[in-house]
Amino acid sequence: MSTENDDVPIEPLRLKKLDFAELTDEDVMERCAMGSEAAFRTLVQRYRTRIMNLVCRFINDRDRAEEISQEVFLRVFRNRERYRKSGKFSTWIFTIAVNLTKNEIRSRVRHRGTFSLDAMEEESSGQGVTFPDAKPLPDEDLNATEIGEKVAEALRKIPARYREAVVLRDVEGLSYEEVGQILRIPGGTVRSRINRARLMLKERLKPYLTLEDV
Amino acid sequence: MNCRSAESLFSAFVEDELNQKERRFLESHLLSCRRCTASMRELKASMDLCGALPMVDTSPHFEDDVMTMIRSGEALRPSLIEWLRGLVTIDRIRPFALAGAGASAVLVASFAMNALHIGQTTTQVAGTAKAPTTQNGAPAEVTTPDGSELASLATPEATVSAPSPAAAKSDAGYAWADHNVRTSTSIPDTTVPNPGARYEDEYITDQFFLERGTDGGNNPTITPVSSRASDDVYITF
Repeated sequence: MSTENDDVPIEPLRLKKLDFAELTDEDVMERCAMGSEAAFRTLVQRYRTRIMNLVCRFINDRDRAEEISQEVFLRVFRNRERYRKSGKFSTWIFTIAVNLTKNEIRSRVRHRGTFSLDAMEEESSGQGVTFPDAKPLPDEDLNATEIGEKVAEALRKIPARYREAVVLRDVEGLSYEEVGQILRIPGGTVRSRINRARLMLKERLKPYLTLEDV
Repeated sequence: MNCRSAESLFSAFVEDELNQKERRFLESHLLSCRRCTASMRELKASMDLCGALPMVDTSPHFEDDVMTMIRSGEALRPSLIEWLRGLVTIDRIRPFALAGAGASAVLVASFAMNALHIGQTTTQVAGTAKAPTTQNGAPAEVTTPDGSELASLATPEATVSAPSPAAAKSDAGYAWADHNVRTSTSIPDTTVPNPGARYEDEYITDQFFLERGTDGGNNPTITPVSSRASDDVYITF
């Protein structure tokens, strides 16, 4: 009863392990929606620093920023089946992050209940409320870390609506179109807010600018 | 171009997003304004500083924490907003949307049919009004309180009058769904077994009712509703 085929050794079925590094965010997210843990881990690895960085630029609390960043990824996981591949994944996840951060800022302002400079700046629309910093001496020698701290501080001091636009554009490097989608504002408003934010930052950072190289 | 309008173009200039005309205006302004030139250089330098900001990294156990929260399930409960959003997904509301669309279509169709019936009935009323008869065979003049004939309740051409039994029978096949014009179908036969009995009055429209009086209904009149106390009005539906 034996045939020729019985003698041929059967090749074990081998599944090719997917290399997510070769896939776009949207493709990885699609696999995540199908239940792939590896795909979700890939997204966490790709975006955790960017999300943490974004949240940190909005709120001056590293521990809370990490909690919010984790919540961002949990929301991505919870809503994985609602994601539509037609939209950019980065826009989607940044929108979640910005919304959660805004909620955090509102919640802080609500629960403080008393006058607070930070709260006022966070809530301020930026019209007419500015408190200039005590300017350091121009010849003060600052290293890169210190300058970074000054820039981060200057970013935190500008009103929230301008800060979120300029952080998404100049720190995260998103396009104007993406910034508009994330903040749900038209392109003209995005440009105007970013220009205004840059002018405010320029005033605050003036003592630290070295114009020889410009 | 003044300094204020020049300032509004700084970002676009740095990112090379100005059109030729705007660029020419700004460049000519910068040539003549040292303050704006310095301001532009400062803006560019501060943009470079922002772009060079060091990234804030997460703690080393960030990824494991997220995965642990997912595995434990406690962090997977949807927030109130997410739960509400889940209620109104397209898949969930589609049956209701389809049912609503169907009901709307039926309503529109019924309104269209009613409009068609009203047009036909108005024509018929105009035809029957030519020869109104009473119990005695005398013409039943329908007049308003000021004595003028009520000539335009439905259309300018139609003359509304108390219909004869024959006219009432001819109207029986129509569905009078218009709530503003209640005329012939519900008006009882004018043949009264007891001539001395009081006739019941009848609403013709919301503004007028048909008052037959107690004389056997020989001289019915159209009376405005507001001219009588409500407890005197007899309404038969």
